Amino acid sequence: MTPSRRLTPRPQDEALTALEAGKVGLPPQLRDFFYFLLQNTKEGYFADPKYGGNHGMQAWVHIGFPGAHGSYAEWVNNYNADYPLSPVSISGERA
Amino acid sequence: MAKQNPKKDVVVIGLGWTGAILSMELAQEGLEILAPECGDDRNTVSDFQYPDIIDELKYGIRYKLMQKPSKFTLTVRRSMDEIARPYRHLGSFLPSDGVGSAGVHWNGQNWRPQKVEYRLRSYVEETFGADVIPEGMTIQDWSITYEEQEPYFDQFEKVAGISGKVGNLNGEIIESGNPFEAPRSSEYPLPPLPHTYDAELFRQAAKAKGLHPFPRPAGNASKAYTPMACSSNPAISAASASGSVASTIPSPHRRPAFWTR
Ligand SMILES: Cc1cc2nc3c(=O)[nH]c(=O)nc-3n(C[C@H](O)[C@H](O)[C@H](O)COP(=O)(O)OP(=O)(O)OC[C@H]3O[C@@H](n4cnc5c(N)ncnc54)[C@H](O)[C@@H]3O)c2cc1C
Repeated sequence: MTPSRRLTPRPQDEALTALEAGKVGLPPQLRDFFYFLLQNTKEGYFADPKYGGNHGMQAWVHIGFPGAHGSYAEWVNNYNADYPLSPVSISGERA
Repeated sequence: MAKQNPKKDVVVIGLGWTGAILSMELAQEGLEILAPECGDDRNTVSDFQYPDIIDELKYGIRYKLMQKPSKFTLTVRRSMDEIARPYRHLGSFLPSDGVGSAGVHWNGQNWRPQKVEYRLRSYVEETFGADVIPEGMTIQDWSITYEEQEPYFDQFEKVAGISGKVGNLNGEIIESGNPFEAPRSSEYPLPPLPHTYDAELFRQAAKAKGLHPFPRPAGNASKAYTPMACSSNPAISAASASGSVASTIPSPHRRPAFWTR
């Protein structure tokens, strides 16, 4: 959910900046709205695809996160080596 | 109308390490036990099985294994003149509930106390003089000794499947273990965890300085482990086969004469 899909990028940034700075005049019970928006956006981007974001595990491919492999035991002593396996999701899909 | 449950011999309230071990000991004496637990009921399978248990959003971020601040919380203030406010989002400390409780997500550091900790007041008095202890300071000697407790540490380590390396075996110092520890009557049930890269660099640097690095006693199983039927109580079943999660869950569930509510 973006603040408004109809806004172009610059007004979007301005709206988010104002929201973060508490300058939008939200009622007190919505004080933490920006915090939740930011937190849920990050979660959507980085969490397992079962939560509906991170499509095709592309966020994990981008940062080189291996996902939900069952064990790394055989890699512990393999110092400074790149992990060669592509990300895997909780449901078992591979990227 | 209030529901009347059949009478039991013992009621144990809460099933963390303490309640679960106590329940197992009492059940082995043939007593019937009722154990009300205010959090979720859990079993090794399916609650801790791969891959669901490595769901980072659910457990690492949203704290599914911890107490819900919406159900119960503490109030915190940082100074005497602040208004104490409820702790709404866990962070600095993580209270738990549910079967297994803190024992299912502890870090699994399994240190034994040093011998001197049992007689801390005497030690301070002998070493620095009685007058260094200010009036009203509650520092005390314990009423038991390390030697009296040693068999129970040994038993617990075998029950929980602790990984480590002995450094003091009945007084004999062993190079690769912790040479400063109080004497142990036996080796750890599991070998130490392998060193990660950072730990290995630290080990080499410490060694080069003439220090005594040693592997930490860990509640993370370095190998698959089924708790041995140790002398009197196979009280806890260790769950983690992958070794990546320190999930040990007390399992009095599988005994007859046991009810959780
Ligand atoms: C994040 C974390 C990391 C830790 N790391 C380590 C470590 O590395 N090494 C170490 O040695 N220790 C560690 N500890 C401490 C250790 O895990 C705990 O001391 C231990 O597990 C406590 O066990 P317990 O059974 O005494 O209490 P708890 O595990 O707290 O169990 C109490 C149980 O009672 C239930 N309960 C409470 N009140 C009621 C009621 N009125 N009715 C019904 N049920 C009730 C609760 O829901 C809970 O299940 C850690 C603890 C935490 C939280």
